[in-house]
Amino acid sequence: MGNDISSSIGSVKQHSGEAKKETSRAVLKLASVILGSIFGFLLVSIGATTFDLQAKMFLFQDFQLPIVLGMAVFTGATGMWMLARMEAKTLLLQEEISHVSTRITPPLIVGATVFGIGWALTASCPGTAMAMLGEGKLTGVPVVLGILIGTLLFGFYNKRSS
Amino acid sequence: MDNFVIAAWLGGFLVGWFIVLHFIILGKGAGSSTGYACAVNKIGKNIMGMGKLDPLKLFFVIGLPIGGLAHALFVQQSFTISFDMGLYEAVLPENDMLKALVLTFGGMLLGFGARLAGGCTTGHVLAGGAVLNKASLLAGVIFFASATVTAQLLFRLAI
Repeated sequence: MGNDISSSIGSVKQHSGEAKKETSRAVLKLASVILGSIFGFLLVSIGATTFDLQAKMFLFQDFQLPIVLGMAVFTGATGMWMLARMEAKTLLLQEEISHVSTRITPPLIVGATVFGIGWALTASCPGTAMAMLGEGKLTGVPVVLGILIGTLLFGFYNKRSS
Repeated sequence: MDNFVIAAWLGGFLVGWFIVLHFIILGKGAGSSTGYACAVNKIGKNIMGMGKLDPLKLFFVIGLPIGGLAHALFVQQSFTISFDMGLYEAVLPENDMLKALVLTFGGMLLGFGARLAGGCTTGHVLAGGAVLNKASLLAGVIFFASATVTAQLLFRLAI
């Protein structure tokens, strides 16, 4: 009888621990959708989904987007520096804020070059293409499709070479 | 064209803080290309060599068009379906089918290139830049240089 009770308590504790994990996983998924929505909204606000601004940027006629990016890096770096000084942890789970420092490799250089050509052909990037879909810009459809295909091809290529 | 575009310095300021917010809430940098890899991986992890992916990125990418829609509805207060690319029309074929093909091909380069480079503008320039990751900053410089050279060529050829 005592064994039954203690094992029941044990399984209740285990289930509530699992339940907590399920909840926090669900919360993180929702948080990701919300963050994505905010970013999509921002991308449109700054003009990243405006084709004319992309064209003028490449032709050195308008500097809206380069200034945005420069300011974003400066602001972001300042904010991250402040976080590091405060030894801040993540809001929900009080975990370490991690940033993986990547290495400069040939794939990085080749990949970035290829990406740039794609950017020039579409006046889009993976983020803005999705935001454009929300705006009703149908050009987002072939671009997103293309990105999925390109990603798929990479999957096959990377599997073969490893 | 659009008078709904906010001032560059303000936009950059907001995006910068957004990146920091993303770090605070999710514990890692934002990224727009990994979500596509998550989607593709669902075809079959064992036939793909995508490496270790953050599954939450898929949800981030799903959120992007919601934000775009919100902007169209509440800020622009108009929702128009369009295939027009403004000044960029000069670079692409006039024929809609050909245009779609070129855009698809361009997308393939974006997708493949981003996986090879380990990220796109969001992941490398914005998030990587915020943590002063040298590889990310280099990737950003190459993104820009490659895109600018290619675009200038395309605009010249278009004339």
